[in-house]
Amino acid sequence: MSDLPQLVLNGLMTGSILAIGAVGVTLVLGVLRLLHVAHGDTMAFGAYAGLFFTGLVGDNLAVGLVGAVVTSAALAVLVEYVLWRPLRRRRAGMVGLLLSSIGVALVLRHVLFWVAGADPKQYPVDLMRVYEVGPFRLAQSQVLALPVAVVSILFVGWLFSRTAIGKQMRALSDDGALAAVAGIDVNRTIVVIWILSGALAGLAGVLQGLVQNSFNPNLGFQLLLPVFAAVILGGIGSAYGALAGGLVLGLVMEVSTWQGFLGGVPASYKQVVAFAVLILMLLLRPQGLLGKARLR
Amino acid sequence: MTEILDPQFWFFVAVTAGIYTILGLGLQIQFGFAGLLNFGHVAFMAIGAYTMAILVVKAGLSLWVAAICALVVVVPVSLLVGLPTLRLRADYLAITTLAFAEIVRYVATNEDGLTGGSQGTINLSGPGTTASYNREWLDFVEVVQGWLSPILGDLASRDFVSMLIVWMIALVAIVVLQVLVRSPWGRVLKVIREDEDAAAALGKYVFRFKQQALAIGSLLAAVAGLLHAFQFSFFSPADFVPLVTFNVWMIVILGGTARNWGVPVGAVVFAILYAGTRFLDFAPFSWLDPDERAYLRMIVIGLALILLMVFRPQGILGRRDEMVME
Amino acid sequence: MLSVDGLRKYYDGIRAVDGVTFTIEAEAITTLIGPNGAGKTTLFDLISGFASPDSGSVALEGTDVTHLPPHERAGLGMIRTFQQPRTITRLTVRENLAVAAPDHPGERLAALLIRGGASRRREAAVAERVDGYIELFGLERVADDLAGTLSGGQRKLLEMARALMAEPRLLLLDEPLAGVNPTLARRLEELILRLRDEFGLTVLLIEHDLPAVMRISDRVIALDQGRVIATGSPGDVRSHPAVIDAYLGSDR
Repeated sequence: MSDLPQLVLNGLMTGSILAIGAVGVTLVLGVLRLLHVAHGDTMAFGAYAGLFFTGLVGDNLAVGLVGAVVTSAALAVLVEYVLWRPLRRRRAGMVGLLLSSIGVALVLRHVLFWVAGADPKQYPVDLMRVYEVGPFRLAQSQVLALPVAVVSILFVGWLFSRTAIGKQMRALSDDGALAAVAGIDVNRTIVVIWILSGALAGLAGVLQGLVQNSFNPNLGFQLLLPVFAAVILGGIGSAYGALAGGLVLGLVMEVSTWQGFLGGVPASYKQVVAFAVLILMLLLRPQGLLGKARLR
Repeated sequence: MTEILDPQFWFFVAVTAGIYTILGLGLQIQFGFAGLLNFGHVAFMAIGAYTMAILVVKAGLSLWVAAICALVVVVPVSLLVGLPTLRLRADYLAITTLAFAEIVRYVATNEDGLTGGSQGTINLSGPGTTASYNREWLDFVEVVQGWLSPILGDLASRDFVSMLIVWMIALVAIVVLQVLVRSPWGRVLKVIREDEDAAAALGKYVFRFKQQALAIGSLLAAVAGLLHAFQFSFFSPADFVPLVTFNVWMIVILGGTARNWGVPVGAVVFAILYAGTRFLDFAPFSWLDPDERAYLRMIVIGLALILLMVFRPQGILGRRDEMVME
Repeated sequence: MLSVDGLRKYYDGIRAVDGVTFTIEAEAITTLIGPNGAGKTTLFDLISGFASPDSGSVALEGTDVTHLPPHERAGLGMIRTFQQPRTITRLTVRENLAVAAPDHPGERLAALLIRGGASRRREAAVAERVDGYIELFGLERVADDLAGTLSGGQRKLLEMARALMAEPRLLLLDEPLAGVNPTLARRLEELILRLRDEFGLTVLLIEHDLPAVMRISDRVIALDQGRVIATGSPGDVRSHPAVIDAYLGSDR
């Protein structure tokens, strides 16, 4: 698994999952000024929900995917009504929101532990099956996941550039006060943002669960910091940036292990590469690769 | 159920509460007084513990010398970490410090040669051998036990002595922090906490104050790490997961940020909750196995955090007008 | 005392400050006037270090401070107040004032721990000065109350008293009379005059209250759209055609 083209492919796979996850985070961060720590665990929730729905209808992955997306979106909306809206009404500050998000994360993760158990689960894919396409060797899970990821990314891109609601979300993300004055229904747009964020998290969770071969409820936290790194990389509040940032980060993470790079980073340190990118970006260029300098 | 009446058990709980008090005081200085959202607190606990253990096992230093070296090392490391990060906005500081703590944990897990890897300190001398760093501490505890047993008899157990030592250190820390907080230095911190620009406009070099708060807090975390290492005679990277930092955050918030005395209260409540859940072996809790009870505990902690933020962000002891959760 | 040269600051394409040059004489009261959006507060931010210019320079008593951070400029004696008073709500009035005292050994960690005596002595000296200002500004009744409980007018007083505690040589006051009842406003005007006459301070202020400006200023600088459109004595500037245009044009 050490040749470059394969690593690039893996990087695109990882990257597209990070990208999908990052869009949700960047929207919530940009509009609600909330660093949504529970996003990772929403992804984990999606992975498990997907597994559940898949099993429900005779191992049908498509049903699993839809079920995961729908329930994750519903979960996000539920938390909005039960927690975020009341907190906003009480004028909770950034710190209060952050700590609440951590609370939600803890609850979500451990409910998953309780209900599903700590032992690793996996999706019903054939782990042994490998497809050879040119210089690439693809596992069955990747063959299933990659097209879904690509379509999702294109869908998100379309959503933000062509639809009214997408433009409203972007407006709210760019300047909340102005958008409210311009007549955009802030609360409704926020609900839409949570729907999208939750849905994408669920989707990313299913894909990660597929690609990871086996997963446990810690899947979410493991993805969290790389997703944040992708968000920062692409510039906070920018959905396109999140997509680009995710893809770039995924590539960097995988390709960094290539032995052509002075021996390459040991595979177990891939996460550390993401952390390092996160830290470096925040220090050197906090507005992201594409963003305008507007941070404090 | 009889365990609940066994004082030895409660001494053990008290040690845990004491260690968390020291951790909490460190975070208190950083967040309650300087407004730093440090989510990598556990990293300095790890650095303190590992530095000491490595020096004892690999360099043959005495435990006491190694402990002092560990504390000395922590200060420049915290300054280094603070250099780039303290200028960041609050939540970015949070994830940067979290990422830093995870890097420390990853290194501890993967660099077997240096840290013993995921198997922990037992592996410090390499595979096939059992390394130990704690001999001198245990000897010291025995000596103290010897002093106390004429007076206290059976009560003077190892855990009892540990409890005394840990809480003595905690008390000293509280007193020192109280002095600091009431000093002119502490007064500037309060300004910075509320309005950095106002502090700068009055000529205060905000960055240096934040660095100092970070260093003091990290020092306390390292002390807690050392005490943890002494108490358990063994540790591994699994002892330094982000969960520990979240626990400390819970404690600091519970006790009411901006009050030093709130921290031991929060820590004791927390330790009792943690330990107490094992006594819940009556219905409906007896229907749960130990794993499930652990999960339930975490769920309760998460809910408590949420409820605190919604209903009582100033914590148990805090006053509304002192609330720092703006 | 203070000189700015060719200061420019653009925000997202808007020329907030567009090539501003002037000098301020020592021991004089100079007022910046101009319609809303003229760039006055941005100029203050540039002078005091809370924003960095895209081009141009700022010099305090001959020393170039253009790239110094705000706290260093404060250390050189340039103290500014803010339009919305930035009093610290969680500290008492006394503490708000005490913390403004410069060069306190007790604020340096090493000095505090090793030579506690110096800190205590300074605290005593500071406490005396604090009492003095409390009396001067008539804040006796609220001296030990948390600043968060003060009325708007009292906070303005506190803001100014605190600025004085910081031992300024140049005082930058951002709309000191705004939102204050007329009696208090008159008191503040007298205070500002006393600052110049008794304390020998140099004052640069932003103010919209034109009659007050006429009363207390030695010199007036008028800004519009980021540029200086007139400078001179209050009477000269008031009757300057460009100034009249700017104000009429912006509906004041």
